[in-house]
Amino acid sequence: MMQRTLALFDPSAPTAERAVGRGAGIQPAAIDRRPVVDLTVIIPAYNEAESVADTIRSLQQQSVQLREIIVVDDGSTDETGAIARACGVTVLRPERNTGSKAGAQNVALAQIDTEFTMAIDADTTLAPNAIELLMPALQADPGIAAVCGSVIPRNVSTLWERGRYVEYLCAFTFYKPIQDYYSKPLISSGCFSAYRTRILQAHGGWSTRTMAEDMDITWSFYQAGYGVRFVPEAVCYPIEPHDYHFMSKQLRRWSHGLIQNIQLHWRGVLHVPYLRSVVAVTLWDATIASFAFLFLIPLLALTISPAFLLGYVIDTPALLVPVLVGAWPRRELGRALASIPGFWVLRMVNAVFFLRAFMAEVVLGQRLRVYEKGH
Amino acid sequence: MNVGLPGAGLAGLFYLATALMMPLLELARTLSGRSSMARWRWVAGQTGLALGIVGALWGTAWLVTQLLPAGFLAALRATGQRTTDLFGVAPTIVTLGTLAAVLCVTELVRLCLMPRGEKA
Repeated sequence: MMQRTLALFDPSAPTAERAVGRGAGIQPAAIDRRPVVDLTVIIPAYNEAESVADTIRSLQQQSVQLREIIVVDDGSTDETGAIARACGVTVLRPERNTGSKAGAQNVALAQIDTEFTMAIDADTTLAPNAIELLMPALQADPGIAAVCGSVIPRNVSTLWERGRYVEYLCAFTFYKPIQDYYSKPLISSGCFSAYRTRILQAHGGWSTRTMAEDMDITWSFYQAGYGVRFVPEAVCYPIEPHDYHFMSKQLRRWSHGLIQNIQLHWRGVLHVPYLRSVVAVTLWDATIASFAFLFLIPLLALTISPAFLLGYVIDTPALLVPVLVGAWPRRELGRALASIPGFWVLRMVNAVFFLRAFMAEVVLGQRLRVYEKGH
Repeated sequence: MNVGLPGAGLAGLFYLATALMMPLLELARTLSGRSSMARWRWVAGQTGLALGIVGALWGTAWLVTQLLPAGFLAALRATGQRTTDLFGVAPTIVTLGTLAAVLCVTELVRLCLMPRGEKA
């Protein structure tokens, strides 16, 4: 039995109506004139008391009105549910923890009757106009099943956050726009994507069969003949893992998720132009390139010359081109340059996790089944 | 979620190649009346980015060749490799060849697994 609660209006909560009222210099009770989008937002949350209020507020303060915001309190042992209720949104609480983000999202999906559904992580906030910028791509074409936006880490201070910051700047400035040009973004990011509800429900929602439900649903859409779009101007800000403990959980989940999705979808993906090429080179990089990175370069450095160690950083000037182009409009050139060493470390650790995942899933047949939250 | 090893590896080269192909594809779209100035502006931006990356790769190769320690160059000569080839044509051909091989194998697997009716 699921518990469903809808909080009454809390005057202390900074709702969209109040924000608009202040901005326009009129009473808080004034009519909200923002355009309405037929969109329900799902926020899966497990022990997110520290961040869920920021996420809800960023949704309530969007430049468009949303039909409903649903927080799925997935068996939290902290105050996540109470905080969400105090913010004035619907809170669903399954009888027991569903075991994964996908499971929590599906709890809410079954009850949604709006044309569009959005999933956003409970540690992610949006730029004020993110949904307004994101939705036209989905609304314009009934053949589009999902749209996603850019991702920029909210905090950029630790080594791991800096590494992820550079990785995202590169990916969302260069790789993903190219994927979108060829109409095949590799993944509609799980932390911030909107879907056509009818298509999502027809696919059974988000599957729990892999560790990367966002990749799974994206590739399923392509195989069913639907499209996915990337809108770079729509920006979200997740909290990325700040230390190795959390980063290792996330990398483990992502690397196993990639291998599991390739194992699951490879026959279908082969018939999707461009996507098959992206997946092929991604698999090469995750395995052969990772092996060369971790073993070949040190071997050459030991047997021929230490100068081969330059191989770890020699592509940095090339990498800096999209990174600095992405950082420039944000006036974060200094931050981007200072974050490069973090990227070197993260890339090395990434290679280790990819190889371990490949060994476990493909060679040893040890499938990762337990979803561990890593932020 | 983001996967892969940004910067390094075949994926980086693949995106570079497909970015450089975009003006040709956009030209084809223009000729069939499916393009616009906005699309061309966007393509020009991404192609410029790709050309910037190519320039940075070339500049790095040149700089590193100038700055490499003499011992490293001597060790390479001992293995029979010409030092001018270290970042020159040969590695580029090998890397592009690897990319082409991976893409060709993918296409071959697709053709082999394609249902008989679809091949015809």
